[in-house]
Amino acid sequence: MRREKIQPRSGWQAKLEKIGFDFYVLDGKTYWNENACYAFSSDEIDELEATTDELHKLALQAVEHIVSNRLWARMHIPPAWSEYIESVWRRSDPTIYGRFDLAFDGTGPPKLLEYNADTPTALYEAAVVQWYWLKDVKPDADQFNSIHERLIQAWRGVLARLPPEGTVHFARFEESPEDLATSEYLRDTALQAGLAGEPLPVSQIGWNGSRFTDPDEMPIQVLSKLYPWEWMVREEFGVHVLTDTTAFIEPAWKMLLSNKMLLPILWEGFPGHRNLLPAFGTEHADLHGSFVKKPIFGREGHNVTISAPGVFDTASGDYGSEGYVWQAYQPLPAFDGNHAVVGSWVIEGKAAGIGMREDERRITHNSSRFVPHYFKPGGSE
Amino acid sequence: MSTGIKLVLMGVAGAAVLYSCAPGAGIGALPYLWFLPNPFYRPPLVANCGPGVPPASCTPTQQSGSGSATGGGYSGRGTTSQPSSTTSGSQAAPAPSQRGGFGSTGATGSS
Repeated sequence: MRREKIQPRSGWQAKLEKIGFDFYVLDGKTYWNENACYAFSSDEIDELEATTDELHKLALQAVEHIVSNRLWARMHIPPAWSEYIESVWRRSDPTIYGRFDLAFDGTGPPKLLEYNADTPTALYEAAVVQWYWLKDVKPDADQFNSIHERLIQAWRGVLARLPPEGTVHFARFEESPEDLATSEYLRDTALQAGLAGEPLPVSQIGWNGSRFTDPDEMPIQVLSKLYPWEWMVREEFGVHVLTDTTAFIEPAWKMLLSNKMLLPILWEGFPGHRNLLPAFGTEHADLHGSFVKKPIFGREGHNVTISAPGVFDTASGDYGSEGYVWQAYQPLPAFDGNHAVVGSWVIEGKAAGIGMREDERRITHNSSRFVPHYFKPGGSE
Repeated sequence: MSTGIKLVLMGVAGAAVLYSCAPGAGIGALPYLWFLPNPFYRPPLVANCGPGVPPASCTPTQQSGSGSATGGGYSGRGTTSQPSSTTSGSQAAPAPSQRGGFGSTGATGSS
């Protein structure tokens, strides 16, 4: 694994805009960076793929453990939600996607940092934008990226479980370009799979006393929502979810995986696993004073603190009221001062591709740069 | 003919049309959609209802979870509760919806 400095494509902004990717600058800073790319060997890609499949398998076992042992209080999930979560878990409501964040430098095993299993973003960049970059810049190389095809396949599975009139509504914050792009791209793949898909601002989700409705007062049968479960649970309409009259994608059991308390639970279940880092619900002696403190319901790096010998970084935010977890500090590989994290996509339960993010800081956040990647087929470099 | 008798004769689909045409029903071109339940809802499966077993003695089966989440590193697994009984879609005439019950916590859902 290495970072290569390269020349951006001539007219790269226009090329991005042509495919509908117009937020290559976020918060006044470069978000899409094609002044560089990450190069992998095929062995490294194989390792990332196998690790992703393995971690998803462990995560599902952790869900079963949480549900079976009713660890709702530990997960900070209201008891009223327990039966509903268990129900959608047991009946295998469909899941489309999730993204592991992994620390990987190409030498040791990839290590799980967290599982964004509920509302992962940077999907369009990973599935489409970097693929077009590959075709333009490295046409003879390959990319770990079957995200697009796998998404369409996943939606076909949903389609098969819907009546002919079935429609999926796609709820998101339309003022957030990243959210809008992810949700619209998901909707596009659903349409390509043959589904009917309707866009919907989160604030326009209605409740008529018996059903969730769209602005035309039509019932929402299936809601693909880019809105976190831990927020929905605590908001006014959350209680109506428990009527089970609307299906949700991602399903409610995904809130167990996007919850950072998953990390200590995984470590308890699989101590010493090569792809896991020690993690605890308190500051633990086994961390030897070198840890990352993460809010249980944190997002996008907010309220994360890194504390290790000679290293300290902390990010502000509004999270942490439910408590924190402590995870052993695993330094991200740094290339020319850029700390790189691997976002490894899971589509319908299987590894489907990666997206690289990098930042000067050790804490990855929402505007950390997306950098394309490639690999040369044919074993190690 | 009373509405009740009409409902019996017309069945659920007919009832949808009947109610959709009623003054003030408030739903439009696709009234049958109101009777489409959550497509993923499944009533609990019943396993040991063999011949001679009274229905009251039947117990729901232990369904597996969404993945192959068996085995693994956890011990002391507890007893699971059964899935709750849930409604499969109301058939009451719809009322105008309240809105804004989601979206108050944050301005982006990304992670």
